[in-house]
Amino acid sequence: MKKINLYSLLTLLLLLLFGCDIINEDERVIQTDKLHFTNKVVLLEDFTGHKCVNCPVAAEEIARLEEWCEGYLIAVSIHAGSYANTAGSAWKTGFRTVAGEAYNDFFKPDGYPAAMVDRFSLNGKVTNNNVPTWSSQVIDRLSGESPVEIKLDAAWQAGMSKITLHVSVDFLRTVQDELALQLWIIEDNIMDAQLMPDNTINASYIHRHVFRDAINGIWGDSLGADSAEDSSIEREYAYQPAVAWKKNDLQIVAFVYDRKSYAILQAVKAEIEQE
Amino acid sequence: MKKVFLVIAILFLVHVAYAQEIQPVPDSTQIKSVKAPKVHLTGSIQSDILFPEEDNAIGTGSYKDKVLTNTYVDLALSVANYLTVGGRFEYLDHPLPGFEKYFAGWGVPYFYATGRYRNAELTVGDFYEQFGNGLILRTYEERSLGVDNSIRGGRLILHPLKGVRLKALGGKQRRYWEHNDSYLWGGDAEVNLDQWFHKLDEQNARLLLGLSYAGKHEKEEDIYISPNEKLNLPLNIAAFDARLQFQKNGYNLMADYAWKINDPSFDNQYSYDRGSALLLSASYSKKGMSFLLQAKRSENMAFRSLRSMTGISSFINYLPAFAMQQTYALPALYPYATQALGEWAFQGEASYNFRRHTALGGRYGTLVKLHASHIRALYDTPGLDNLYYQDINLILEKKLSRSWKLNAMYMNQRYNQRVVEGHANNGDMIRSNIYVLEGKYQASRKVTFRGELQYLNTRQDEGDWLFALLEVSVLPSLMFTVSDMYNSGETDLHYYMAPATYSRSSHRIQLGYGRTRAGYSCAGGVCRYVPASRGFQLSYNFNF
Repeated sequence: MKKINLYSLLTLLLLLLFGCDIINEDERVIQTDKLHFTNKVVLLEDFTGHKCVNCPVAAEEIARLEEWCEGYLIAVSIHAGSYANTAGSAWKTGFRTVAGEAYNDFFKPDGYPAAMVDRFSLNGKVTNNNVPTWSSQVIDRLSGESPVEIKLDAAWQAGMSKITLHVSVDFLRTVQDELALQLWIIEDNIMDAQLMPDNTINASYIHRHVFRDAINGIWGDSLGADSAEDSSIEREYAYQPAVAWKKNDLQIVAFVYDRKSYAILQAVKAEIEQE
Repeated sequence: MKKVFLVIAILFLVHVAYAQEIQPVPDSTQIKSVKAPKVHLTGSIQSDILFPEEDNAIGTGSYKDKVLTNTYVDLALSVANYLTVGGRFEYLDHPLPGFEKYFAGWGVPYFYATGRYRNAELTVGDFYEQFGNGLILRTYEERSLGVDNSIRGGRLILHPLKGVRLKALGGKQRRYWEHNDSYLWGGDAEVNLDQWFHKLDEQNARLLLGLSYAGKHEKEEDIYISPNEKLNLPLNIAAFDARLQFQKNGYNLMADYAWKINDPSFDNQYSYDRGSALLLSASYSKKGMSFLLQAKRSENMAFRSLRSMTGISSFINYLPAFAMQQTYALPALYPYATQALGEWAFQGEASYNFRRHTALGGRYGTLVKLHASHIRALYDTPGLDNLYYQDINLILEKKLSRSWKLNAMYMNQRYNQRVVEGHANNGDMIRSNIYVLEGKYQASRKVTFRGELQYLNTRQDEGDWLFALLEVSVLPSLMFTVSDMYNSGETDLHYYMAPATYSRSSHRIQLGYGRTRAGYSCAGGVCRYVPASRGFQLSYNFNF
């Protein structure tokens, strides 16, 4: 019995000894290497809504990440779900779209805000509600090289009523997976109401990079499978934006993704050139 | 990724006269040899099925599936008192509405083998465990919430000395159909001092001392605070608990203190502050009366097996809610959810039974209960309402005659919707007065009628609600119920429900049709959002 007691006590002490990492205040930050950019551009899709109280904090984090990433991060805000409904007089503009609701129904974020970083999974989940971890997902995705380059040209036609698009997808390496090309139109800097974390409504809130429509269908166009190194696929599109959208704040986002896993291989954003 | 296991093969079909429950190793005693059937099988089946219908008026949304079900089959095979093996088959591939996305799946996610010999019990496989009040470790299953945070590993329970119980465990925690990429371990020691100090035992007093430890190891993770700076995250987190409980002559006193070292996580926005929780409880009861007073202070005590997890999964510990669990429909409309970052909570209850044949007791006696809860922020924030939740309930139970019984309740409630739900409608604080009247009439030896009338009065959220219910029980097996919950405030919607129940020996089957309002389903302070639904509902329960 004495032996058992001694062993129990020893085990307990060992557990206590090795089971604690107390981090002093001056040891809480680790310096890392400066961000290293390759050809990879990351897409961050942010599920959000007018009535999502925590979404302004997420928007600030996205702005911070965009600043860090110097053009290698593209953010798109998808207003969908119940927090994006505009019942009530405070909300002038509805940002919900058929395509946005389809993405919301398919990827099923557990709450709002939620981000998908290149639609890559973290801890088994593609959508991520944990705003502070978005940075590590973005930095992690930036470190890899993309096997694909996208060249995107967008121009206004016919007195700024129509947009013509030319997309070239170049394969730097052979890609065996079946891929798809997706084109979106987004509108930046829209002033409209937003519910803030203190439960007040900010009527002059600036909504950034709002998803407006999927140009080539909700799930884009197939690029086929087994794309060989040095091959290239070109596509042309024409699109008529809604009259109510601010033309000078419209931008086009194009990305290539894996049709099976939905992971995004490469993304690009372009301003729409005047004719 | 889902694995499909073969359901535990059965084994021996033995004719038994009855299914005998396996008793856990009793505290402070040696195992006695008990005459029991050598091998026997126990288990249960629970299946809840919804045939959903779209209903735009109540906002159900659309459904891809025609049938939704949560079905569980538990089996346990015991060999005398020495060995129990068991498992659970779950079919949740098309679950009922409102569960988290990764809840869906099917298979045998829970199986175990428990061996007992003399003063020891060893479990290998999946198990549930709680240390004390659960402030540092509580793993449990709550099907209504979709919570199952069992540990897969091993657990040893020892009774080395009279009045002493030791536990040690280790493993990985379940999260839906996977196990989190982290390791948990823990130990618990409880000593019944009345077994050692005879004076206590002689005076019929009980004194229990408990000490617990729970730890986790998680791998590194990158949380960046700038492009070239990230947090130095601790990989090994420890939590400790000490508790004392004293009982004598109807008095019961309990104190429980828990603390946790730095544990930066999503729940505390990656703060390095320590966590702590203090629970104090005092109660007195004797025939005809009881009193209870409790206080709790918790700060930064959310403890998960994955630091960056969100939602209701992956908690290692449990912080009890200090609000009365309501069974009537309208008082349960705004249930409180424990705030992980911290809160002050107070709870008190007094009950008194006025004896029969007295002026206030009447012919059959009258029970009066007063209960109050008050929960608030740890630190007052100017400009915000720092009250999280408060309720005062006055309950009266009175038998009027041999056939008639009456229950009445008045509740004054304050519910901070902004804090609890993250949003508010017509004001942050919902202030309501709720009136409940329930009557039971035994028409004959076999037939009983029960009716409820409830009224909730508030100016916030959706305004006033009314509820009515009528139930007929026909012994031994049948029960019919019809009810309606009506919002006379904003929406003017009726949430009707009409189930019929048949019970026979260990079987129970219920079939009903109706609407369910969107809201929160809570158990013990943990809540799940349940969307609105309408349709036929079928439930089957069988225990053997």
